[in-house]
Parts: sequence; structure tokens; C-alpha cells
Amino acid sequence: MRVYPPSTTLRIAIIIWTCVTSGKILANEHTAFVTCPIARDIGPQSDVCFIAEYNGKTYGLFDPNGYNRPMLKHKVMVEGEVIDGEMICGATRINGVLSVMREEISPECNQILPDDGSVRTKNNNLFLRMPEEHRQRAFKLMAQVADNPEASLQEAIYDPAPFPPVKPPYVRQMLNLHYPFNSKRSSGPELRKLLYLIHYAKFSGGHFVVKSYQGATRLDNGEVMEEKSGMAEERADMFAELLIELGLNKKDYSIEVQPESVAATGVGDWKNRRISVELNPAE
Amino acid sequence: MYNKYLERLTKTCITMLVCFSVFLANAAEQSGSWWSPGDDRVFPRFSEYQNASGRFGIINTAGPIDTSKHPFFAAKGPNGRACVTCHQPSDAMSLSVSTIQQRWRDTKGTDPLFAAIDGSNCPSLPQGKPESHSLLLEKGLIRIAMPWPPRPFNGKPIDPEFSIEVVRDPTGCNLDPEWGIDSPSSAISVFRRPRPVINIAHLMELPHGVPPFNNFFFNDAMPLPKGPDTGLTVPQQLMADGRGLTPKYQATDAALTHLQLFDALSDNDLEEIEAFERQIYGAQSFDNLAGDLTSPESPPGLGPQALVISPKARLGNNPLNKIFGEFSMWASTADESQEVQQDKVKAFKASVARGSEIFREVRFYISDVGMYNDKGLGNPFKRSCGSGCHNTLSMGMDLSPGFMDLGLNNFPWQNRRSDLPLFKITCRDDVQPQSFLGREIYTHDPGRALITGKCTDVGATMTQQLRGLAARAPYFAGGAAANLRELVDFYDRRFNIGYTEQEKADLVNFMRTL
Repeated sequence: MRVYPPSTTLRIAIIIWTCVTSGKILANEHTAFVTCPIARDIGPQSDVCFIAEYNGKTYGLFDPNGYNRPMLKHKVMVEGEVIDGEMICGATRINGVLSVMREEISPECNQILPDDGSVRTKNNNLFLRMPEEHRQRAFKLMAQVADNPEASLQEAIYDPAPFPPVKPPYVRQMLNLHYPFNSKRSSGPELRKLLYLIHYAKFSGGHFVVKSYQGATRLDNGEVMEEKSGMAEERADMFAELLIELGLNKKDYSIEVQPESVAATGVGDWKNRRISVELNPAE
Repeated sequence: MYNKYLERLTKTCITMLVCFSVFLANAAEQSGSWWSPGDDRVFPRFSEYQNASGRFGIINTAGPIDTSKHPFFAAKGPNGRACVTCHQPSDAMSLSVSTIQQRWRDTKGTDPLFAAIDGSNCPSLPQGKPESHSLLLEKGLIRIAMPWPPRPFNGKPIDPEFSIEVVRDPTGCNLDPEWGIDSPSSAISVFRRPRPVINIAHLMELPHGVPPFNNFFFNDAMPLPKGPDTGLTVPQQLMADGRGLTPKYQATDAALTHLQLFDALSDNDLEEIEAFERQIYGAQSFDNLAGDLTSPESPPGLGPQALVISPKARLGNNPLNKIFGEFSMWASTADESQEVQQDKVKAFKASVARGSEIFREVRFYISDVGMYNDKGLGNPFKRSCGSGCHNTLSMGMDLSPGFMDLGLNNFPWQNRRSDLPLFKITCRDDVQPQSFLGREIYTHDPGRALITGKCTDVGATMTQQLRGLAARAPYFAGGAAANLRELVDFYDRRFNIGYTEQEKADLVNFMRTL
């Protein structure tokens, strides 16, 4: 065991004490707060990105869960883990989720920072997000345009390949779909996972067990924000409608609603706003 | 002497012949431009129709059709109208206000187009007087009577999230004891432009390449609806408020309302109408300055053939497709003032090429658009016309699909219109408000909200394809922009874009060639 001299120990203690008492968030520490988002212009060929100032520090707001980007005129709830050293939108990244507070308008949230050249994002070209095979086809067509302008009307954005057939042995499948605060809109990527689960069930057979939850979030300032009453039921109703629209029969699934908000702990509370789906393949 | 006489006679005869030919040509043009129901005419494989900027071309991929008994062209209801009455080939299968005014003059207001039911500001007004038809004559608007509260669609009852109050009623129809909101049939009268019934095959294709939103509605991430007649998922692009999900459903609705038919159209009629709508493709085919838009030297995205060959319902906002394809063959690096003097055609083409680039590349803050910024895109969303709301390859509508409130119906962005009714919408406290206007909204047309009953939908209407613009002014669902310049000016003001005069001119020139 390494022993630090008393002066170093004291220094470390002072740093920790300063951070704790000033309310600043340490790297990899969980944080949750509600504030106005600030839009930042990052150049003529880019979308804006968003930051938030909280307790004297600036955070880059990243939406990993599909399109749920912050909106001026509305506050945003930020929940996640501070990722030290990773920058987004010119500020420290928080790995977590964003919820736009849609219930009321906040006209004071209306700041756009002009482009100062300090932040540039990766090229957002659609082609660069495509599978390699599709990208190569698109680039090949682009090379043809000078000689054959009609190539510019050919298909460049392709449908993804259909899910491959599923082979036995079939095993239990689990999926969690997460929701923004007071929202029942699922994200695109999670919907794709649900579609795969339904595809899986076409081969495996079986029964879906669905549980719908609502949550509460303990903010850093101690305030607990609870989702509105009945949110879990609203999510369940919408999800049942979704399953029927996707071709399931009522006998194919059961839905259980947890009407009480899962208690907030201040760490990862956003994970409680969810619908969990379990597919138990037929025997 | 005799020779001189003969020479003069010959010249006179030639002059008279030329004059007569011009007269005949003009006569043919006049009688050829307006299609009356039941005209014994053939709808050809290819046809062109004159407009102020050039000609609009239609390709009918199934070949010539005898229209005399065709249900799209034959009068079906008691008011003498047919589908073609409001969807004229000369007007990109819509109806321009100049055509409407000409028809009024030609028939002294007796054409079935001006039927009391919706060709006048309200059926209770004295008919045949221009002031009773002012919205149609001045803005090209047809009255749409929407049931209130909304009728269930997809079998699901609607519990409206808001109440609606008539604040101003210049047409008298919303407070009319027979036709208004408090009448036995309780209806909200809104006034909208007829949408162009062209390139429908593009509008009816589900979006490609945007999983999972090829089958899901972006706004609520729920599956897109299914056509009541087919049971198949449909993209909702057809109508301004999404109420008619398929061509057959739209035709049925239109027949019962606009044509005042007592019974629904037969299955056979509906089949024929849908087949016709799916087989016609149209775009501007000739421009008075640029010339033939279908020539091999023209940009490949111009002319109706582009719609025939182009893949349907694809995202076009990428470096290859550039929404409407390549325009660089018209680009010019020469000094502009010299061009204008030396070659007007070349200068115009260069302007069109610049316009296409401005359309797809010049970004601006798209902000506070209900049902757009709040569907996850963020507010603001910094995009161009083409990479934002008009992103679909060769068509330029929103692929997602895009019901949205651009401010064309709702205050404070709308040009305050004294000719349109004004409604006050009050949303319940327990529902999600309209994201940027809150729970109290003033609007000339509640739009999609009259179908869904949702507060967030107030004022939202479906984006429109950009084909045949030169043939079908005025623009926007409420006819707010008399011409393309006014359309550009609206956006410039609404989104504080700051286009230069040259950029505005380039955009107008670009759009008139579509």
C-alpha cells in the first residue's frame, strides 16, 4: 500500500472538499438537473449543437437515444454521468439522457451562441453513416454524374437489409425501452430493437411479458421530480396499441402496469422510465 | 401592273392565312386549356399546357384515355362537377387563381366550379355575385367543412383536447345557423387550396432508407396508419390534414362533399380514378427563357420524365441526389452583369443553378415550428429548404411525413388575413400544449387538429410537393403567397434568413422550372 505524505493527503482532501461544497460534479459522477439549454452555432454547414450551464460548469448535451434534442423555449432535464475528457459541443460530455420539459413554455430559454470557430463537428454527410457497401455504390454514382447527369437521380439512400431468419435454439429475449420524462414516445433505435424482437417471435413463437413503469428523478439540488400520475398506464396503452399494429394478437402478450413511480435514488433514475419486454419462446 | 396586283393579293392572302392560323391556334389553346366535365376529349400520352413561365407537361404512362365517361372527368353529382373541375391539367392538376378568374369571366360565374356548396364563401350567401365567391376568385380557396367535434377515424373515437371559438367570421359561414359550428351538422369552415393531383405514385410510396420510420410516424413513433380500403400502411402525404389516406378514400370524400354526390362512387369508378392518378407524372417542361427543359442538355431533374424514372420516396438531401438532381451544367462562372447583357438565356440558367444550390445548401435557423422542431429535431434546427422540410428526391416534400405549423395558419407568424375566419383554440390544462404557442392559440385554420383533436396539431398542415409551381399560383394552403417571390419573402421573414435580392431571384427562377 502506498502511503502519501501528510501534505499530499491534505491537498487531496482539500480538493475533494472544495468540489463537494461548491456543488461541482466530479468526473464519472452522476448528475441530474433542469436548466435552459443553450444552442451553439458551429458553422454554416452544420446543425446547431446544445450546451447547458450548471453550477458554474458547461456541459455538452448529447442525445444518444434517437432524436430527442433540446429545444429553446423549453427547459431540459439532463440525467447522466459526466465523462471527463470527452468533449461535445465544446463542453464536457454527459453520458445519459435528455428530456425536454414540454408541459410549459419557458420563453427565457432563448440563447443562441454565434459561431466563434472553436467547435467543429465531424462531417455529417449521410453517406458516411451508411454501410460500406452502400457508401461505395453512392460514391460510384457520384463519379458518373459528370458524364451522365441522370445518375444524380438514382437511388443513393438504401433500405437496410431485412432481419435474417432466426434459427434455434431459441432463448429468452429481453428488451428495455426508455422514455423521456413525462413522455410516451419511444426512440427510433429502440423501436428497431422491438421490431427485431417481433421478428424473432415469428420464428420462436412464445409469449411477450410487458411491464410498464414510471419514474421519479432526484435532482442534484435535492428536488425530486415525479412523472405525472398515470404515465405508466399511458405508456402501456400506447405500447399495446403498438403491438397490435405490429401484428400481434392480444393473446400473444400480457401487460402489467406499475402505477407507482419507482423511487428516485439520484443515480440512473432515468432507467426507471421504461417498458420492459420479455419474450419467452414457446417450448 | 398585273404582277404588282398579284403580288399584293398574294401578300394579303398570306397575311390573312397567318392571322387565321394564329386565331385558330389561340382558339384551340383557349378551348384546350379548360377541361369541362364530360368533354369528349382524349387525355394523351403526353400533353403540354401553357402558363406564364412556359409550359407544364404531363406524361400519362398508360397511354391515351377516352375521358368522356372516365369517372375523373365525367360529372357525377348534381352540381355538374367532376374531379377535373378543381384539378385542371393546365394547372398542374390543381387550380390557379388566374384560371379561376378566367373561368368566371367566360361563364359569368355559372361554371359548376362556383357551386354554392364550397365554391362560394358560404352556401347561404347570394350566389353569382363575385363578392360571395371572393375567396375562390382572389385566393383560389375552396371551402372545406370539417365536422366538429372531429369524426372518429381508424375506428378510434376522438376526445378533443381543446375548445374552439369563432373570433371573426368574415364569410359568415362559421356562425351560420345552417352551416356553422352551432348548426345541427356542427362544422368548422376552413378555406384551402386544391392540392395538385399529380405524381401521386410518389406520394403514395412509403418512405425508404429511414428505418424504422418507413413504417412509423416520426412525431409519435407509432405505426403509420393503414388505408381503410386496402389495410396497407400508407404514408399520409396525400392531403393537407391527412384525412384522406388513399386516393380512393380521398375520391370518396371529395365526391360526397365537393361533388355533392348522394351515394358513394362505385368500386369500379374508384379503381379507375386511382389508376389514373397513379399513372400521371407532371413537371414544367418548357421555360420561356431556358427553353426545352426536357432536352439532354437540361438538368436531369427537370421535366416530367424525371418523375417517371426517379426512385420514389427517397431522401434526396445527399451529395448525389441534391433533392432535384444535378444542375451544374447550367452553372456559370462568368460575370453576371456581362451575362445579362450578352445572353439572357445563359444568365437565367445560371440563376436557376444558383437557386438550386441555395435551396439545398443555405442553412438557417428553423425555429418554433410546431410538430417539427418538437418531434425530436431540436429548436432551432439549422437546415436549408432542401435538407430541412423539402428533402424528398425529385418531389421536394417532407419524407417523414411532415405535418407542421410553419406559421401559415397560426398567429403570430401568419400574415393577418381579414378575409379568413379567425378561431381561438383553448387547450385543456391536462394535455401537452402546442410547443411554442401554448394553450391559447389564434389561427385561421386549425389544420391537422381538426382530424386528431390534439392541441399539438393546431395549425399543422402537410408539406407540399414542389412540382408544377409555375402553373398553380397562389401558394400555401391558404393561398397567402400570390407568387413565388411572395413565397420566398414569407420564409425569409418567418425564419429571419436574410436572403439577398439576388438569392431571392435565384430561388424564384429555380422553383419556376420545377
